[in-house]
Amino acid sequence: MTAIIVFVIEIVAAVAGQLFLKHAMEASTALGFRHPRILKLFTAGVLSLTISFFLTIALLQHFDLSFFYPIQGSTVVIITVAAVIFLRERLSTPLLIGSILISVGIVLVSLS
Amino acid sequence: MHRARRSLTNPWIVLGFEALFVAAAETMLKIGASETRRVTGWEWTGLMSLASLWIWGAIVLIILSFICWIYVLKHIPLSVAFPLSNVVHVLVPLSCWIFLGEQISPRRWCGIAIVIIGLAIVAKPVAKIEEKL
Repeated sequence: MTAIIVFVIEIVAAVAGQLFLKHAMEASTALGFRHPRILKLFTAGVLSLTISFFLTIALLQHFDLSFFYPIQGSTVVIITVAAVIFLRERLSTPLLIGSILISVGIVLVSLS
Repeated sequence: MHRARRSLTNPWIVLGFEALFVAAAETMLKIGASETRRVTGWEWTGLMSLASLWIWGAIVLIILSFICWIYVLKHIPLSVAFPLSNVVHVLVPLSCWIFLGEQISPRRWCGIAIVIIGLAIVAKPVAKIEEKL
Protein backbone atom coordinates (compact mmCIF):
# COMPACT_ATOMS: atom_id res chain seq x y z
CA MET A 1 0.00 0.00 0.00
CA THR A 2 2.80 2.40 0.94
CA ALA A 3 4.48 1.55 -2.35
CA ILE A 4 1.40 2.58 -4.34
CA ILE A 5 1.23 5.91 -2.50
CA VAL A 6 4.95 6.53 -3.14
CA PHE A 7 4.39 5.65 -6.80
CA VAL A 8 1.55 8.14 -7.12
CA ILE A 9 3.51 10.90 -5.36
CA GLU A 10 6.53 10.18 -7.57
CA ILE A 11 4.51 10.53 -10.78
CA VAL A 12 2.61 13.60 -9.55
CA ALA A 13 5.91 15.27 -8.54
CA ALA A 14 7.50 14.48 -11.93
CA VAL A 15 4.50 15.87 -13.83
CA ALA A 16 4.14 18.94 -11.58
CA GLY A 17 7.88 19.63 -11.90
CA GLN A 18 7.70 19.76 -15.69
CA LEU A 19 4.55 21.92 -15.58
CA PHE A 20 6.19 24.39 -13.16
CA LEU A 21 9.36 24.62 -15.27
CA LYS A 22 7.40 25.11 -18.48
CA HIS A 23 5.19 27.74 -16.88
CA ALA A 24 8.27 29.54 -15.48
CA MET A 25 10.12 29.55 -18.80
CA GLU A 26 7.09 30.72 -20.74
CA ALA A 27 6.32 33.56 -18.34
CA SER A 28 10.01 34.54 -18.22
CA THR A 29 9.79 35.81 -21.80
CA ALA A 30 7.47 38.58 -20.65
CA LEU A 31 8.60 39.19 -17.07
CA GLY A 32 12.34 38.45 -17.24
CA PHE A 33 14.05 35.62 -15.45
CA ARG A 34 14.72 37.50 -12.21
CA HIS A 35 11.10 38.32 -11.54
CA PRO A 36 10.14 36.91 -8.09
CA ARG A 37 7.21 34.96 -9.54
CA ILE A 38 9.43 33.29 -12.12
CA LEU A 39 12.03 32.39 -9.50
CA LYS A 40 9.29 30.89 -7.29
CA LEU A 41 7.91 28.81 -10.16
CA PHE A 42 11.39 27.70 -11.19
CA THR A 43 12.30 26.69 -7.62
CA ALA A 44 9.00 24.81 -7.30
CA GLY A 45 9.84 22.96 -10.52
CA VAL A 46 13.36 21.99 -9.48
CA LEU A 47 12.08 20.99 -6.01
CA SER A 48 9.33 18.77 -7.47
CA LEU A 49 11.78 17.10 -9.83
CA THR A 50 14.20 16.53 -6.93
CA ILE A 51 11.46 14.88 -4.86
CA SER A 52 10.52 12.64 -7.77
CA PHE A 53 14.22 11.78 -8.29
CA PHE A 54 14.70 10.55 -4.73
CA LEU A 55 11.34 8.75 -4.65
CA THR A 56 12.43 6.99 -7.86
CA ILE A 57 15.59 5.81 -6.12
CA ALA A 58 13.54 4.66 -3.10
CA LEU A 59 11.24 2.70 -5.41
CA LEU A 60 14.23 1.21 -7.23
CA GLN A 61 15.49 -0.07 -3.88
CA HIS A 62 12.28 -2.08 -3.48
CA PHE A 63 11.33 -3.11 -7.00
CA ASP A 64 13.00 -4.43 -10.12
CA LEU A 65 13.68 -1.86 -12.80
CA SER A 66 11.78 -4.04 -15.26
CA PHE A 67 8.66 -3.74 -13.12
CA PHE A 68 9.07 -0.07 -12.38
CA TYR A 69 10.22 1.33 -15.71
CA PRO A 70 7.10 0.54 -17.77
CA ILE A 71 5.03 2.58 -15.34
CA GLN A 72 7.46 5.45 -15.94
CA GLY A 73 6.60 5.19 -19.62
CA SER A 74 3.07 6.29 -18.82
CA THR A 75 4.34 9.73 -17.77
CA VAL A 76 4.57 10.63 -21.48
CA VAL A 77 0.79 10.49 -21.88
CA ILE A 78 0.16 12.01 -18.44
CA ILE A 79 2.44 15.02 -19.10
CA THR A 80 0.96 15.60 -22.56
CA VAL A 81 -2.59 15.58 -21.16
CA ALA A 82 -1.59 17.66 -18.11
CA ALA A 83 0.01 20.29 -20.36
CA VAL A 84 -3.23 20.51 -22.32
CA ILE A 85 -5.36 20.81 -19.17
CA PHE A 86 -3.20 23.10 -17.02
CA LEU A 87 -1.19 25.09 -19.57
CA ARG A 88 -3.96 25.17 -22.19
CA GLU A 89 -1.72 23.76 -24.89
CA ARG A 90 -3.40 22.48 -28.03
CA LEU A 91 -4.15 18.78 -28.20
CA SER A 92 -4.28 17.24 -31.65
CA THR A 93 -5.14 13.64 -32.51
CA PRO A 94 -1.65 12.90 -33.91
CA LEU A 95 -0.12 14.24 -30.69
CA LEU A 96 -2.27 11.96 -28.54
CA ILE A 97 -1.74 8.89 -30.76
CA GLY A 98 2.01 9.58 -30.94
CA SER A 99 2.31 9.92 -27.14
CA ILE A 100 0.39 6.69 -26.57
CA LEU A 101 2.63 4.84 -29.07
CA ILE A 102 5.76 6.20 -27.35
CA SER A 103 4.43 4.99 -23.97
CA VAL A 104 3.63 1.54 -25.39
CA GLY A 105 7.07 1.38 -27.00
CA ILE A 106 8.79 2.27 -23.72
CA VAL A 107 6.86 -0.50 -21.93
CA LEU A 108 8.03 -3.01 -24.58
CA VAL A 109 11.63 -1.76 -24.45
CA SER A 110 11.77 -2.15 -20.68
CA LEU A 111 9.90 -5.46 -20.41
CA SER A 112 12.42 -7.57 -22.26
CA MET B 1 29.50 30.55 -39.01
CA HIS B 2 26.27 32.51 -39.05
CA ARG B 3 24.35 29.41 -40.00
CA ALA B 4 26.04 27.39 -37.26
CA ARG B 5 25.10 29.96 -34.67
CA ARG B 6 21.53 30.04 -35.89
CA SER B 7 21.17 26.28 -35.67
CA LEU B 8 22.51 26.30 -32.11
CA THR B 9 19.67 28.60 -31.08
CA ASN B 10 17.09 26.50 -32.90
CA PRO B 11 15.07 24.88 -30.06
CA TRP B 12 14.45 21.70 -32.11
CA ILE B 13 18.17 21.15 -32.55
CA VAL B 14 18.76 21.96 -28.87
CA LEU B 15 16.13 19.31 -28.04
CA GLY B 16 18.17 16.84 -30.10
CA PHE B 17 21.30 17.76 -28.14
CA GLU B 18 19.38 17.34 -24.88
CA ALA B 19 18.49 13.76 -25.82
CA LEU B 20 22.03 13.02 -27.03
CA PHE B 21 23.50 14.32 -23.76
CA VAL B 22 21.11 12.20 -21.68
CA ALA B 23 21.85 9.07 -23.73
CA ALA B 24 25.63 9.65 -23.51
CA ALA B 25 25.35 10.32 -19.76
CA GLU B 26 23.39 7.09 -19.14
CA THR B 27 25.99 5.10 -21.04
CA MET B 28 28.86 6.76 -19.17
CA LEU B 29 27.11 6.19 -15.82
CA LYS B 30 26.91 2.49 -16.63
CA ILE B 31 30.61 2.33 -17.56
CA GLY B 32 31.59 4.29 -14.44
CA ALA B 33 29.36 2.21 -12.17
CA SER B 34 30.82 -1.06 -13.50
CA GLU B 35 34.35 0.28 -13.17
CA THR B 36 33.93 1.15 -9.49
CA ARG B 37 31.92 -1.95 -8.57
CA ARG B 38 34.78 -3.47 -6.60
CA VAL B 39 35.66 -0.43 -4.55
CA THR B 40 34.42 -1.27 -1.05
CA GLY B 41 32.86 0.86 1.64
CA TRP B 42 29.56 2.73 1.36
CA GLU B 43 28.61 0.48 -1.56
CA TRP B 44 24.92 1.24 -1.44
CA THR B 45 25.17 5.00 -1.43
CA GLY B 46 26.61 4.99 -4.94
CA LEU B 47 29.06 7.64 -3.79
CA MET B 48 32.13 5.47 -4.43
CA SER B 49 31.38 5.75 -8.15
CA LEU B 50 32.75 9.32 -7.96
CA ALA B 51 36.20 7.70 -8.18
CA SER B 52 35.53 7.19 -11.87
CA LEU B 53 36.07 9.99 -14.38
CA TRP B 54 33.19 8.57 -16.46
CA ILE B 55 30.81 9.47 -13.64
CA TRP B 56 32.08 13.06 -13.56
CA GLY B 57 31.73 13.30 -17.33
CA ALA B 58 28.17 12.02 -17.02
CA ILE B 59 27.37 14.60 -14.32
CA VAL B 60 28.58 17.41 -16.63
CA LEU B 61 26.42 16.04 -19.46
CA ILE B 62 23.37 15.83 -17.18
CA ILE B 63 23.81 19.48 -16.21
CA LEU B 64 24.19 20.44 -19.89
CA SER B 65 21.07 18.45 -20.76
CA PHE B 66 19.10 20.29 -18.07
CA ILE B 67 20.21 23.67 -19.45
CA CYS B 68 19.16 22.55 -22.94
CA TRP B 69 15.82 21.34 -21.58
CA ILE B 70 15.11 24.71 -19.92
CA TYR B 71 15.86 26.44 -23.24
CA VAL B 72 13.59 24.02 -25.10
CA LEU B 73 10.73 24.65 -22.65
CA LYS B 74 11.00 28.34 -23.36
CA HIS B 75 10.22 27.80 -27.03
CA ILE B 76 8.33 24.52 -27.52
CA PRO B 77 4.99 23.44 -25.95
CA LEU B 78 5.52 20.88 -23.18
CA SER B 79 2.96 18.55 -24.78
CA VAL B 80 5.22 18.32 -27.85
CA ALA B 81 8.69 18.64 -26.28
CA PHE B 82 8.22 15.97 -23.61
CA PRO B 83 7.08 13.16 -25.93
CA LEU B 84 9.92 14.04 -28.34
CA SER B 85 12.49 14.01 -25.53
CA ASN B 86 11.62 10.32 -25.14
CA VAL B 87 13.81 9.62 -28.16
CA VAL B 88 16.32 8.72 -25.41
CA HIS B 89 14.45 5.42 -25.06
CA VAL B 90 15.66 4.68 -28.58
CA LEU B 91 19.14 6.17 -28.18
CA VAL B 92 20.02 4.46 -24.86
CA PRO B 93 19.38 0.85 -25.99
CA LEU B 94 21.21 1.58 -29.28
CA SER B 95 24.18 3.07 -27.45
CA CYS B 96 24.27 0.09 -25.04
CA TRP B 97 24.23 -2.19 -28.05
CA ILE B 98 26.97 -0.34 -29.93
CA PHE B 99 29.30 0.73 -27.11
CA LEU B 100 28.64 -1.75 -24.29
CA GLY B 101 27.93 -4.85 -26.36
CA GLU B 102 24.59 -5.47 -24.62
CA GLN B 103 22.08 -7.69 -26.40
CA ILE B 104 18.74 -6.37 -27.70
CA SER B 105 15.91 -8.93 -27.70
CA PRO B 106 13.35 -9.04 -30.56
CA ARG B 107 10.71 -7.67 -28.17
CA ARG B 108 12.96 -4.72 -27.36
CA TRP B 109 13.55 -4.05 -31.09
CA CYS B 110 9.74 -3.96 -31.48
CA GLY B 111 9.50 -1.49 -28.61
CA ILE B 112 12.18 0.71 -30.19
CA ALA B 113 10.32 0.63 -33.52
CA ILE B 114 7.02 1.61 -31.87
CA VAL B 115 8.68 4.52 -30.03
CA ILE B 116 10.14 5.73 -33.36
CA ILE B 117 6.70 5.56 -35.04
CA GLY B 118 5.19 7.50 -32.10
CA LEU B 119 7.95 10.14 -32.36
CA ALA B 120 7.36 10.50 -36.09
CA ILE B 121 3.61 10.99 -35.55
CA VAL B 122 4.23 13.66 -32.89
CA ALA B 123 6.89 15.39 -35.01
CA LYS B 124 5.01 15.46 -38.33
CA PRO B 125 2.53 18.30 -37.63
CA VAL B 126 5.43 20.23 -36.11
CA ALA B 127 7.49 19.89 -39.29
CA LYS B 128 4.55 21.34 -41.23
CA ILE B 129 4.34 24.39 -38.96
CA GLU B 130 8.11 24.92 -39.33
CA GLU B 131 7.83 24.80 -43.11
CA LYS B 132 5.28 27.61 -43.11
CA LEU B 133 7.54 29.86 -41.04
